[in-house]
Amino acid sequence: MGNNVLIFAEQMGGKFRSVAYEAICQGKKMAQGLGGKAIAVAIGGGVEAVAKDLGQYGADKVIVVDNAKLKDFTVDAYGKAFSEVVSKNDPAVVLLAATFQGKDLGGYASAALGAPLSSDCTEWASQDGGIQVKRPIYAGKAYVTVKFNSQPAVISLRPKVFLPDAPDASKSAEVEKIDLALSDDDFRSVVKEIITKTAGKIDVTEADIIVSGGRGLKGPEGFVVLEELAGLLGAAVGASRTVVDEGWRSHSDQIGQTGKVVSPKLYIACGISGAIQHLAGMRTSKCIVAINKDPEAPIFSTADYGIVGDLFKVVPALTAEIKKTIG
Amino acid sequence: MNIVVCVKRVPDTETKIKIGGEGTKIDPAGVEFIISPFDEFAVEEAIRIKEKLGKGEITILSLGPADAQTIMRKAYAMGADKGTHLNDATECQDTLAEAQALAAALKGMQFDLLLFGKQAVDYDNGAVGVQVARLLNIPVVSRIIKLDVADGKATVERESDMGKEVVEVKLPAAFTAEKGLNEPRYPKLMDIMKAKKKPLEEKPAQLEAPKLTIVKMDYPPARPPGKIVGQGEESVPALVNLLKNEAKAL
Amino acid sequence: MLPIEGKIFLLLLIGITVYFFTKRAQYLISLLKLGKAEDRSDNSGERLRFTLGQVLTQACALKNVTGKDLAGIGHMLLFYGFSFFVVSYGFHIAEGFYEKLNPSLFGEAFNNGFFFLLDLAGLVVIVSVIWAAIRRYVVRPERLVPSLEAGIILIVVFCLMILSFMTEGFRFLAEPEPFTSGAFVGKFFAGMLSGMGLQAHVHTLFMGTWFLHMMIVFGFGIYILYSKHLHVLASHPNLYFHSTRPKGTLQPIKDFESAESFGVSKVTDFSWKQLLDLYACTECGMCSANCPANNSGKPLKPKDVIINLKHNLFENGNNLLTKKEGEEEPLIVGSVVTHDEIWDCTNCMACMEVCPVAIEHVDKLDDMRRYLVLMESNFPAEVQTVFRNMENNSNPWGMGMATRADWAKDLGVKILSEAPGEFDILFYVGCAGSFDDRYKKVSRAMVKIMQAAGINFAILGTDEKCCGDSARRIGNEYLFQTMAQENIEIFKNYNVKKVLATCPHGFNVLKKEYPQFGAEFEVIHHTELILDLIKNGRIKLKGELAKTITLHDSCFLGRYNDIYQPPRQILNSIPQAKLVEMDRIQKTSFCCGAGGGRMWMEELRGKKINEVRTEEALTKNPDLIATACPFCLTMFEDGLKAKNADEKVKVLDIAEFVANHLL
Repeated sequence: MGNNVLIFAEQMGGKFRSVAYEAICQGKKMAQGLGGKAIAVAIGGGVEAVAKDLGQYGADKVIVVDNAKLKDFTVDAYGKAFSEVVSKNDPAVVLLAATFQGKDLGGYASAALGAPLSSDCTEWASQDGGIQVKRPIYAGKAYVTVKFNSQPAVISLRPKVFLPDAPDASKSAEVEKIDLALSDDDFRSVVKEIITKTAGKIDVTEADIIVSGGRGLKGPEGFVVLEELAGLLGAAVGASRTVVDEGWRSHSDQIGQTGKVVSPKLYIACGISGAIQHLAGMRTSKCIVAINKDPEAPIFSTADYGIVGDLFKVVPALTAEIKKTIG
Repeated sequence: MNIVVCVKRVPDTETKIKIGGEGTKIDPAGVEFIISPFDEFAVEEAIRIKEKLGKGEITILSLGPADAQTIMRKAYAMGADKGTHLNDATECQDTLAEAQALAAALKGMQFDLLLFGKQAVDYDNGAVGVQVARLLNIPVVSRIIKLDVADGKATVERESDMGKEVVEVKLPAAFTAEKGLNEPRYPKLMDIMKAKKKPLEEKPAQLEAPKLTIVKMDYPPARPPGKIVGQGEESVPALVNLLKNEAKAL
Repeated sequence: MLPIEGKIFLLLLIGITVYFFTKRAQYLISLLKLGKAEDRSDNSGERLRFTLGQVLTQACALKNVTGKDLAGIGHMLLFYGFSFFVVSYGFHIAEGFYEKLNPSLFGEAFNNGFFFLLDLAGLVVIVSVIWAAIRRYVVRPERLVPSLEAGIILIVVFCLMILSFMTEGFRFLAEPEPFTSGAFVGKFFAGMLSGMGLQAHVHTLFMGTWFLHMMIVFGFGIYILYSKHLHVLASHPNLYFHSTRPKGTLQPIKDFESAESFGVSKVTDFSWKQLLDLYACTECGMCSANCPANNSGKPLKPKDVIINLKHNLFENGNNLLTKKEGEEEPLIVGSVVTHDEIWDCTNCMACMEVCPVAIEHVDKLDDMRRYLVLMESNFPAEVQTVFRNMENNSNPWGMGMATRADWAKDLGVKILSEAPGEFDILFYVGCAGSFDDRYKKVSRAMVKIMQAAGINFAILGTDEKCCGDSARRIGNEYLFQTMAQENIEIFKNYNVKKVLATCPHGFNVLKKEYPQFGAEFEVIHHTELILDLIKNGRIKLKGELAKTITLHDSCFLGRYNDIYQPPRQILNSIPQAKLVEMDRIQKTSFCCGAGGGRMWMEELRGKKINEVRTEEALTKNPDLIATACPFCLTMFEDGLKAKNADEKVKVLDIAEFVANHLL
């Protein structure tokens, strides 16, 4: 029975992502509780050079699988490499970030090793010599506390829940490079092309953040202030039905009962009164901000945060403030 | 082209979740059950491929309680041809055990495409598709938003953190469907009627002992009631602070 | 009267006429038989009374007479005048064979009176024909399209009258003993003709004009069956076979299990009565003139739907009759009637209300919707969300059904799903009243009123489901019936005897369409209940409302249920309230645009109906607009916003007016 924690250090384009540091910091803490070591695993093409830096976040050791063929992530190839590292090291816990890659790899490793899995964990605790986790289910309408009955446990952590500790430049990790034999069979799926995100228009159904405008914008030109905020946040610009009816915005931007139904992480409603036909399209958004000059507007009863005021003053101020705070 | 689609019966997304008696499961009373929305994208995609190619057979595989057959019939009404219900009266809560049971059932089936939703919107682990693919030793791409099949290969698109990836995969292969893959159809009444007569095989799910245990189920902390942060642009810094630190939305 | 050759010629004429008439009539009947069976054999006495009442009093035509549109009076004159002539033709033909068989058979006075009236009728017909021609070709009201057929008929009728007078004139000159002294116009013609030096030929001219006259009459008799004047014959049976179902109700699909198709896609999917409707159409255009879709510039014009279907039926008639087993029949959906036309309908029933010959337009459009939804799954994309929301959460917005009774928290309302109990009235809150923040205020107002009146009422709470009206009106009869049966079951379980509804759509469907599936409970609308409470003194109103109010009649309350007065009487019982009526009210009230499931669809064609209606309301400079329907309320609030009048004018439900003024 191992007592180490094996942590997948996710990288993109040869650089570790902040979620990798989040996972390593938590992995180190878990390992301390289990009396074992935190072992980071870096997989990719050209990751060896930066691998030792992971020690600054608490990795006792970094295992590197560096192979030009692994430049692009595919679950088949990465999964094979990762599972082999896991099975050789016999850890108590396999830890990942619950990102696209982390969830894929977690599933793969779980199946390859016959290990139980819990995704998107938001809390963990040492319990009876093992790890218990808490995770949301039913889209966050309930939480479960999970106990694992076998080792290793494959756990992925919800990004941004556990913030990484500041790096300690005095520390560095032992780097172990592993060569794995990868066969053609591991490349039955091949990334042919990566179309990087461009600054172009984001569709409201795909956006994580939506800045949406209603009649309060007074005309098509009023949307300029929303476009600025949206540009800064990488958000899509949505519109209420009345605005689309007036021809100020195109029908593809319309949010509501007869338009698009959206559920972004953040929905900023500007000059929208919030009649039910609009609410039906956006009320499941995770966080709703309302900016409206009418304190009686129904949107305020649905919003998490509201500002009563002239949106032509509030929205530019919001843009400036976010620029200042987030950069 | 033979396609197998795995679907799961889940509570409707608007359901008010009530935790049941033992405190480790939900109380199903008054809950409307549906096909997990992402699984529905998978079913729709299978039907579109079949329609495009003009041939093939679509098999629905569902692991769940007896009532799972209701949502299987819905997939039939959309256009699936037949299916197997892996009956699980235990309400298994272990993703891996479910994946293993599905894989065991799939081993006896011939297929070119194996489709899943990217996650079932109950336990939200988002792992079963990849797990089953690994257990069957076939390639898998998760969260696809486009799927083209030709010459024993599939070309798919999916969102990644870097943008959009185009991935080419040898068949047979598994894919999990993301929102945006398609808009599922509303079945025609004739098809709803025909769905009642399509073959549905029932087998007990071969579930191993779960390797994890749900110790308890809790409600999340109550969402704080909405608040008016303030009047006018002076309240903007307070709002940004709340968005960043309380809601963690920025 | 006629020589033997003349009698033979007349017989020949009659023979030819009977032959062509019968042939065409058989053809028309055989086309009707292509339609599906439909039982309209009930209530024969009532049907006969209705038909005679409509025709003899010309109520059918007169009901649409307004200060701006007097055409119904013209029709009445033409009808009475021409009917007199039809009787006279009977005498003419009889007299042709045996000269004693004429009006003098009933005495001299009768004879003279008859011809006096006949000539008078002739003048009346001439006046009304000229009037009709001026309307059609000079005034050109929008609802009339000048057509060749109409022109031919007006000219023929005009010529018939002139010929008739000339025949009388020549007869005066040809017969030594005048046949009557009553035919004053004939006498006048005789005077004119006598000065033309035709004395030697008057008998020949009399016979000539007589036969010409009769030939035109017989020709006209045949032409009627080939032209739009088919209505002269078809409108009577159409009135006789009018719908005796509760007003505005749609017919249920009875058998989902074994039917091979649903709804209407081909002309033979219609019932024989629906085809008879096509024959009966007078092309008067009243339906289109009152249609909100047409009036807002949309493709749907109910008259065109009927006429296009009729023309299509005649064009394809022979093919349909000779069609072999298994041969495909052309679709009418998507060609003769376009998808846009089908989806534009708000089911407001204005067309049916004004139709003089009892044509059922809405049923046809909804039958075609049924085909599109149930057979093709082809409907505006946004409707799919509505169906799914109804299926999964039993409300069109998809709000979580567990939150249905949240609005009633802390109001002290009996909620049956939480604690069953005794009650007199079940308040069926409906989806808008349960989920729409705006209309929840109306639900609360109703609670306040009923509590003030001491009514023992209850709500179903989370056991309440969507009524399904929108599903039915959009054409998803399967979903609707599932919902209706579920609701009826729930109502039975709670032993519901009397239901109160605020939403006219729920009110209408519960009251008049649920009985199709075995519902047995009384349903009242909140305006009816409130008026009763005021009349019985169970609630008293205080305070003053020195405001100008205009009232919008909801289609499903007004036209569907003839509830026009209660909202008016309630408003008038508020001290100082000044009710100013809009131009289109009550039977010809103009839809808000949200009926027939349009509430859930984008309005992509033409102007927005709600804005048209809001503009109409604003011409009365109201301070307040009163409605009694959640859809109308939403449509007006949106309309006022669009017209930038939402700061000045507010929309309130009747219940809110009352709740604000409770003593």
